Parts: sequence; structure tokens; C-alpha cells
Amino acid sequence: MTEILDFLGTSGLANLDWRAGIMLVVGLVFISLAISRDREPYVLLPIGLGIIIGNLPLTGMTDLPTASSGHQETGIFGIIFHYGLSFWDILPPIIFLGLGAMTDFSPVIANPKTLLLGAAAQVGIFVAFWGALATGLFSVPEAAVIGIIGGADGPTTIFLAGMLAPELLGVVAVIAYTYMASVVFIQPPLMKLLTTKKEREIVMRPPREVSRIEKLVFPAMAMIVIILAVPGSAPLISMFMMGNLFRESGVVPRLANAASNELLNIATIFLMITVGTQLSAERIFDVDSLIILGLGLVAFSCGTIGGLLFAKFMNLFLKEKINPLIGSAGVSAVPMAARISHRVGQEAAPSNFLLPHAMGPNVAGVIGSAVVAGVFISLL
Amino acid sequence: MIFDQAIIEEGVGLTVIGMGTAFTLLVVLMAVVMLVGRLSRVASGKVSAGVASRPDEPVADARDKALAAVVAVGAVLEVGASADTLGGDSG
Repeated sequence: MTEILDFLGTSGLANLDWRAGIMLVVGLVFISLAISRDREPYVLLPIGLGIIIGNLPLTGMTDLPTASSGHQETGIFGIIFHYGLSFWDILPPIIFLGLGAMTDFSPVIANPKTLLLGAAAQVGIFVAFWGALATGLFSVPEAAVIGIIGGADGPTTIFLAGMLAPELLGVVAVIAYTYMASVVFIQPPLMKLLTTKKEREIVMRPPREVSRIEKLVFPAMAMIVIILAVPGSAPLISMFMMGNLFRESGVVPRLANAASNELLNIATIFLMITVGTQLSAERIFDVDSLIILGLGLVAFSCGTIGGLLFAKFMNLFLKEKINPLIGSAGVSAVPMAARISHRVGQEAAPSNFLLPHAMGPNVAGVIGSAVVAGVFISLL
Repeated sequence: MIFDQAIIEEGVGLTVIGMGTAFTLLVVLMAVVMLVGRLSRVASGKVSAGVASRPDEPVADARDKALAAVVAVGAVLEVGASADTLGGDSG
């Protein structure tokens, strides 16, 4: 009888506390949203599964390697977290390789002024950064990791968190992806509040044709220029531009295809599940997490506002006006933010086709947030 | 709210350097893209002009060949006509 009780005492059920139980339900909710509502399935399904794995007690799957035990008592997701996200931080750059192989820089090259909108939208990072510092609850590196949520770039957020504040990685990653999926609710009210109907009706001419040589020179030059200035951004920027060169060269279709398919999918599986495993009950049921949730919303909103207002500022000097709605696409939730700019523009003027123009700041925002992350890494 | 002087200074430095670097680099990229675009358009304009400046060469060549063919045919016909005349006269 004692043995039976001892055995039952070692079961997960006997060691499950109410907070972990709630997290299991949260994981199931994520999974059902992904499957039944088709809401961001590539993010929510693996993260939901990771939350469940991470909150089931006594599995050891998320145990990290230690100096004494080495790797022998380490769980698979402990290994992936340690080498993929914390110690080596290689998964986000691998994802950027795949994203670069899928990205078309033509909208940026056709209208290079839109690069500035990508820079302006990064103001959201620093508003959230200062908000985090003002609470007095977070150190400067932690505040930087919270601020980078405003870059609206999942891999960049995870990369920076892995480098500067691994303990916040799960929380900031899920919050970043949650808000990225919610830009469709966050952005339109701000876009309509900060622009007049006349501004929203500004029609932009179709972008010019971009030559092959321009598409080849851009990623090479961008990589060299940015990394010479901010070497800390090298892991992300170099992989992003290499992937793009694979695509644009046209001479290595197997490499471009592998980067944008197999490699990206494998890295996404490991990254998202591992991010989910980091959402333990102890971390979620913490006032700090609620504060980060609020600061994330501030970051996204201020990034949107920054891009919109800068576009209006640019129009003071431009002969050929830009539709300020594309400024909000500088929040680099690619391509959702660009689609929202297009949709809101069409509500004002059905003939206006803003999507190719909005992709410019959208992609520039990815570069901008990677640059800011590189600055944080260099200085912190 | 807690404000420590050292943290404020560090925060200001990060903000200025972060936003400044992002803007500066993207301005530089913008300039590079504009320059490459202009050079690309100039280069393709020169190639088009180069093609346009030699339009007669292939036409002149074809004309010469046509003339040579006409002369050859005329010569053959002349020779044939002479042969017929000689054959008719002997009969």
C-alpha cells in the first residue's frame, strides 16, 4: 500500500498545481484557435503544444544542462532552448535566412524613401523601453528586451531576449506574436484617428520596374553597410540578406528553396515549441508579465503612430505625396501590417492599391528592428 | 516610478544611438539604392543608344547580298540566253 502511494506521489497528477492546470488550458485554447479558427496556426499550434509540455510536471523535458549533470539529465527542449535560443541563439538567424529567401525587396528599391518609414516606426521600441525603466521593475537589458516587442518581429525579439534576458524569452515572444496577430485590431483605429480622409485618399502611382542588378546589389550593399556600422546585428542581417541573395541570384534555386521551405519549417518547429515550453506557470502568474503585456501594446501603438506621423511629415517636403497609411506598415509584422494599410486605403478610395507601396516600409521595418537589436547587443 | 541617474543616462544614450543609427543607416541605404537605380538606368540607356546608333550596318549588309544575288541571276540568264542563240544559229 505504501508503495502504491509512493508511486502515485511521483505521478504528474499529484504534482500538478492549479496554476499549471490553468496553463494547460491556455495551451489547449491556443491549439484550438489554431485549428478551428485558423488563427496564425504556424505560431499558435506549436506554442500551444509547447505550453502543455512545459507545464506538465516532472517530465524533465525542459531541464537545462548544468555544470554538474552536463547533458545527461537534460530534456530535449532544454537542449534546444540552451543551444538554439540562449547559449548559441542560432534558431532566429536560421529563420531569418528563410525569411530573406522569401522576401522581395522590389517595393523598397522602387521607392527607397519608404526605408525612412521603417526607421520611424522603431520609435515604439524606445517608448516601451522607457516605460519598462519607469516601472523600476526591470533592468536596462530587460527593458530593451521588452522594448523590442515594438519592433513587431518575432525572431528579432526572441534573438535579443536569448542574448540579454533569457528568463523573459517565453513571455516576450508570446506577447510579441500575440500582438502581431492582433495588428488588425490595433492599427486601424489609430490610422483613422491620425489621418484625414483626404490623406487616406492619396493615390500612389504604381511602383517602377526594378532591374535585376538592383535586386542583386541591394542585399549585398545592405549587409556590408549595416554590419560595418553595427556588427551586433550581423547574425540577423547577414542571414536575411544571404537568403535574399540566394533567391535573387537565380543560380541556386535548390538552396533558395531549401532555405525558404525545409530549413525555415524545421527551425520554426523547434523555435515555437521551445518558446511555448518557456511559458511556465511561475513566469506567467507574475505581475511583471502583466506589465510587459501592457507595455507591448504601448510599443505596437507607438510604432504605428511613429510611422504614420513621419509619413505626414515627409509629405510636407515631397512633391509626389505618399499616402500616410503606408507609414503604419513600418511596424514589421510582415505582411499583415502592409495588408492593413492597403485595406484601410481601399475603404477611403476603392481604386487605391497601396499593398506594393506598403511592403516597402514593412520590409524596411524588419531591417530597422534588427539594427536596433544590434545596437542593444553592442551596448549592453 | 523610480529614476536612477545612471539608468537615465544609459537609457538616453541607448535611445539616441539606437534611433540615430537606425535612421542614419536607412538614409545611407536609401542613397545607395537611388544611386544604383540611377546608374542602372543610365547603363540601360547607353545600351539602347548603342543599338540605335548602328541601324544601317545589318541593312547595308543585306542590301549588298541582295545586289550580289541579282547580279548573279542576271549573269546566269545572260549566259543561258547566249547558249540558246548559238544553238539556234547552228541549225
